Order: sequence, then structure tokens, then C-alpha cells
Amino acid sequence: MIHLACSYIPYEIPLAAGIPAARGIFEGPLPSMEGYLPRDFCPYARAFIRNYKDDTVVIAESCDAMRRVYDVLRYWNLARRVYFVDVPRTCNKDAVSFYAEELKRLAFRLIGSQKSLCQESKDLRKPQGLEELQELAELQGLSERLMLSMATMNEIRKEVSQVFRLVSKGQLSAAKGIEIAVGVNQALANPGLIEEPSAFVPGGILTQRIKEMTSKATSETDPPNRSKRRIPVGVTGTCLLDPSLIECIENAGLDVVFIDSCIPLRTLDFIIDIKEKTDPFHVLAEAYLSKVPCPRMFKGTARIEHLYKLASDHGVKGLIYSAPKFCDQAYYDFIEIKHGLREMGMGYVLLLESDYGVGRTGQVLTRVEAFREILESV
Amino acid sequence: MAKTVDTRQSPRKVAGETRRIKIIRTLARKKWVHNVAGLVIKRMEKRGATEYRIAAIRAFADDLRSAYRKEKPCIYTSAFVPNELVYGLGGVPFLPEAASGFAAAFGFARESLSASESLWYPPDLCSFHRAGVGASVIGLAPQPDAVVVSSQLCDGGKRSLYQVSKAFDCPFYILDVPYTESPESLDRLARQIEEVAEGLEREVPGLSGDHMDEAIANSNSARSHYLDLCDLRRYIPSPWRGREALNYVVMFLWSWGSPWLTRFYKALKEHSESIIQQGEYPVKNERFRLAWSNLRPYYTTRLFDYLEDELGASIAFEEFSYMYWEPLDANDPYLSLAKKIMSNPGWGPIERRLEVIGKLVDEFSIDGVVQFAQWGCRQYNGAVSILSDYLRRKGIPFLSLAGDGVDERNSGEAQSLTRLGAFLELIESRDIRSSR
Repeated sequence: MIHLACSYIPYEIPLAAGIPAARGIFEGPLPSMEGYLPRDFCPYARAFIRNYKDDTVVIAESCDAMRRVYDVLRYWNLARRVYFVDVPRTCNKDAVSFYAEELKRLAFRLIGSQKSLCQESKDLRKPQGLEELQELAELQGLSERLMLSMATMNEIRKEVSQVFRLVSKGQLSAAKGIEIAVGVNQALANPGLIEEPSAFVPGGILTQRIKEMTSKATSETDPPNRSKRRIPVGVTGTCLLDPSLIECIENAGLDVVFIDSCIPLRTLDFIIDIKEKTDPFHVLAEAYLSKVPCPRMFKGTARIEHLYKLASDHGVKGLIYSAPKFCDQAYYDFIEIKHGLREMGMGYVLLLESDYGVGRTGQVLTRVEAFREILESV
Repeated sequence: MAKTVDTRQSPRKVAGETRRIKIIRTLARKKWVHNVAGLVIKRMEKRGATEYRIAAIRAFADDLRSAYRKEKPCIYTSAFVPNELVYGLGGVPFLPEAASGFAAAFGFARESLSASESLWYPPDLCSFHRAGVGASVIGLAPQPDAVVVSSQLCDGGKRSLYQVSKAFDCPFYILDVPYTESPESLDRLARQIEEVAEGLEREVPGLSGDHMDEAIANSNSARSHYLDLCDLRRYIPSPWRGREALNYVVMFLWSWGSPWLTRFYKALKEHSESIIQQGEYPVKNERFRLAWSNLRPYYTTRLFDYLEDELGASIAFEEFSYMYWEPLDANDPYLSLAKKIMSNPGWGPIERRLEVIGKLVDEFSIDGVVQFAQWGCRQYNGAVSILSDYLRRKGIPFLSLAGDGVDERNSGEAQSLTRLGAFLELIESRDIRSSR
């Protein structure tokens, strides 16, 4: 099993390699793992530190904290293998080519690790054996499998987008939407879906499963009722730690109509334009670097423009920024978003510092209720 | 269709614009003030001020005059951008995070921090960056003509300077430094540096690459003197006071490519030689030799008096002062600068940093390592458990000393003194020196 640490690491690669993989989603740091990282550290990074035993972990060059997670997991031998993916911060031609090579290297290593052929070099900067791994990848038809996995993930993403369309229409609560997105992530990690490496993950089964989950969720719960004049808000941030904050916002009488976070929007709300005669790694790299920008990226005003468009399209009255405590990317991003949106005429942005289970605290509920009162008075 | 975005900071009044800040802001831009400063420096020279100190003061006085008076384009850079690039283009670099240390030393940090806080910068962010942004927006720092950052090591550096570029509506460039060193990644970085140089030449009037050879030569010459100085610092007892060395880390971060850096390191080398010859060591009866990681508190603190004068502990070397790059090649400056950036031991897997610390311990006869755990520094503090274990295996005691280099409100001085005292007792009880 492979644990992925960032929305820029494509699910498609482990799928093509025939290895179950999922984004690391946690309920909080494990008490037994405290001490590897300081307390004044992002809760997601701290939660990511755990003993993965025989599993593989793939960390991306997301931020200072995740680079340290990479070091800690390796230094203390907390996983069988720990790979690093160097994600560019820009999306020009050079960056796309670089990232395509980076993804190729990851794929070769994953295939090699399956076959126990990965010769980890002592010099971490010069991994050896990539040529042999490339040959193996070619033998296994990696390129074709990657095209298939992109098509599969496109199907899955389309289905998840449908779920969040229901959320934005008020037909499904955002908390339920998150639950489904997390369920999809877990389903991708279900080894039962992949019987052997030569087999391929059946996208149809997953999309069917999403439909069932959606139908169950819509039938089981009362959707937020727009007729009660609840105020629509959007939620943004770096990484939404858990659904408790969304539940809290909905309990405070606001409707969450979009969630711009790693899970779901920035991971599952884009479609890859599959070009038959192009290197699939290049296609994948371009698609991932061009997706909805995350706060770590340097794409000029793209992020603010995107948020403004989301807010306008959904008619939100305010934005709630969820910043994991001690997440520098979020703190800086919030400042930019707050000033940028104010310039564009959208002045109501609330910063909530979050931790696991933050939505179950009275303090946060009080702040969200106060925010609702402000929005009601506008 | 989205509106056109203007992310410049709102023109509202920010906190920290006190009367004294307004006075300093005005004075810093007056020609006569810089002329008077020049006369004062000359007078200091005549009165026999140490040559290396004069060289350092002149280095900053020259750069600040050029930047405040707009005699040359002022390019804000983050800490690990090779400033040979800026000097080589005929500009002057300004490092807000390094200038925060000056602000703290001269008592202006409070206003700078207040300014950033009023712009929503939370106190959990590193104060070097918060104060840097604050000093820029209240005009305590010179106005930037462009901003260049590198993506390595520190998220705060690049993010804060991006926002400064928006506040001043000036061009912003990022060097997206690859994590893994390979011929391809070096080429990619070299191409980026070249593109930044071309962009700066195009966008900022007054910049051209005519001075690149000179900047590279200055850098190499300074490097050569610096290596000699490093050799002298191996001497027991230590010929240079650690607290001063930690102050001059700012030169190491700022001035590569400036002609003054060569004079500074040459004079400092000669000064250290004379200290050794005369036997007038700054720490009398040196009992312990420490290596210091990360920066220090730059406001007034009793920490170093206690450490050096009362406890007899020398800071023999600092991790930040480690010379990590090869001489630069004037025939291929961009590839050379790319290699310099990627040689930084703080970048890449932690083993690179451990290797350097191991070398410092061995080469400088270190008895213990202190890491100043700057509040909000994820890069350094995140490696504490690893560093501690690595040094424990080497039999070297390690102390992570929590504090804040700029924001005095986060300082617990008495607690730090107690911890340092206990740490040296531990070193003494283990008799590290004689066990070597």
C-alpha cells in the first residue's frame, strides 16, 4: 500500500503500477509518535508521522514541514520505502518537462519496489538502477496502463464533481460530500480492488460505489434547506484536516457551498485531457501542475481569481479560511486572499486556525456564529 | 469572467508608523545624512577602529545609501539567493529578513512587527519575515525595484517577499530550486537564473550584466580569504568571539559579489592571526567550545555575556557560516550560481546537513551543539529530533534553545540562561574534551 502526502502526487501512477494507494487522511497525530516533530508544527505533518511498517510513503515537496516529515520517516525507519516527489512551484514548459521526468522516476521506482528490484542508492541524490527499472516498466506496458489509469481517474473525478454539484445546489450537505470524497480515497486504497499487478483497477466499480454512497447520503439526511434563508459560504485553506469544521459551520446555520481544499476540490475536481500520441507522463504532469492552484504554488493572481470566481458563481456572502495551526503556507495565503478579495469587493473572510477535531470546540462554534451574525447584518 | 485582480495591500494606515519611524524614514533618504555617516566612518577609522568592522560598516553604508537614495536599483532577495547576481547586474541587494536583525539590534523591531500584525501576519510566523515585511511597508526599509526569491529552505522567505512585491507593485521572480541534484536539475536552475537576469535587465532600468565578471571575481576572492579565516577559527582557544561572528552572519548572507566582502574577510583574517600571535583571546580561559546552529537574538540580551564571559564557553563556529560552494566560474556564471544554490547543505535530504554538523564538530573540536530554536522556523526546528539523535550517537551533547531572534516578547531570557548553564554542566560532567 502507498500513502500519498499531497494532491500533486497523481493517484494515476500507483494505479498504473498496480499498487493500492490513498492520500493520507487522519484523525490526528498518534500520541506514541509525538516527539519526532516539535509541537509548534502543522497538525497534518505531525499526524503523518506514524509507523507504516511494510508500506511505502510518497512525500511531495509541499512545504518546510513536509520536507521534515520525509526526513523523519526515513531517519527513524518508519516505512519500508519513502519516496520524494519534487513538485515545481510554477507551471511553465520547463516545469512541466521537469515534473514529467520526476513522475516517471516515481513510477519506475514503484514498479521496481513491487519486483524488489529497486536498488536504493546510499547517495540519496543519485538513485541508481533507473535504466533497469525503465526496461521493466516498458515490459509491463507502463505507458498504456497509465493512459488507462488517467481515464479511470477521470471517471472517478467526474463522479465526485457530481457529488459537489449537489452540495452547491443545497441537495447534499457539504459534510456528507466530504465523507464521500474520503470514502473514494479509501476505496482507492482497498487492495481487494486490485487482484494482481497485471490486472487493472476497475473504474466502473468505483464510480458505481460513489453513486451508491451519494444516493445513500441524500436519502438518509435532510439536505440544508435554502428556504430557511441560510447564508451560503465557501471554505478555503491549505488542507482541511477533518470534516468537523464543516459540520460546525453547518451547525452554526451557514450553508457550505464549496470547499477549496486538497480534499476534495483540488484533488478531485479536474479532468485530464488525454492526448493519445503524447508522452502520458507529460500529459499527467501538465494536468496536475495546471489544476486549481494550491497556496504553495506561485501562479500570480490565479488563486485569487479562482476563488473570486468560485465565490461569485456560488453566490457566497462570506469565505471561511481554515488554516491548520502553524501552517505557514496558509497564514501567508490568508493574508493574500483577504487583501485580494477585499480589493475585488468581497470583504468577509474569516480566519479559523484549525486542528483535528476543531469543529467540536465551543470556541470555534462561537466564532462561526459571530461570523454568521455579521453576514446576516449585511 | 473574473474581475482584474489588484492584490496590492490596501492603502489604509498600518500600525507601527510612530513619530520616530517617520523621522528615520525621512532621514534615511536624505543625501546629507549619508554624507555625515561617511564622515563618521572616516573618523572611526582615524581613531583606530578595527579594520574589519570598518569594512563591514562601509559595505552596508554603501549598499544602503545606493538603495535609499535610489542611486542604484534595489533588489530585495531572500536569504539564499546568490547576490552575485544582483551585484553583477549593477544593483544592490536588500534582504528584509537579515535587516530584521538590524531592526532588532537598533530597537525598531517593535514597530516593524506591529506593522505586519496590523496587516494580518500572525505571531506564529517567523519574526524575521514578519519584521521584514513590516519594515518595508512602513518605509523603514528602502523601496524595492524588484524582488527575487529562491524556493529552497524557507517558506516564509519566499511568501513574505512575494507579498512585498505586490505591496510595491514591482516585478517578482522566483528561482524554483530542484530538490534533487542532477545535471538536468542544475541546467534547469541555471536557465531560470539566466531568465531572471534577463527579466531584471528588461524590467528594471539601470540594470545590465556588465558587472557580472567583477561580481564573480569579488565573490571568489572573498571566498578565498574566508576559507583562511575558517582555518584560523579552528585554533584553540577561539580567536573570534562567537556573538560577533553570529552578528556578521549577515555579511555571509548578504554581501557575496560586493568588493567590500573581500576587504572584510581579509581584515578579519589578519585580525584573527594577530589575536593568535599575541595570545589575546576574546574568551579568557576557554573551557568549552560550542557550535551554534541557526541565528541568535539580535536585541540586547545577557545570553552571550553569560555564556562567554561567565561560563567560559566559546562559540567556535556557526552552522550558518559553513562555506559550502566551490569557486564560481566567470565563463559560466549562471551554471556556477546554480551549483552554489544547490550545494546548500540545508537543502535536500537531512543527511547533507548532518554531514556538515559532523564535520564542524570534528574540525572545530566542538564539545556541544546549541540550536537556537527560532519561533516559527519549521525548517530548522523540524529536524531537532534527528539532529539530537545524530549527535547523541557521536557522543556530543545537544541543546535546542527556544527563543526568538527579533520578537523580544517571545524571549524567556532567564529560562535560556538556566538551560545554557545546565547544558554546560552536562558537558563538564561528561568530560567531553578529554574524551576526544
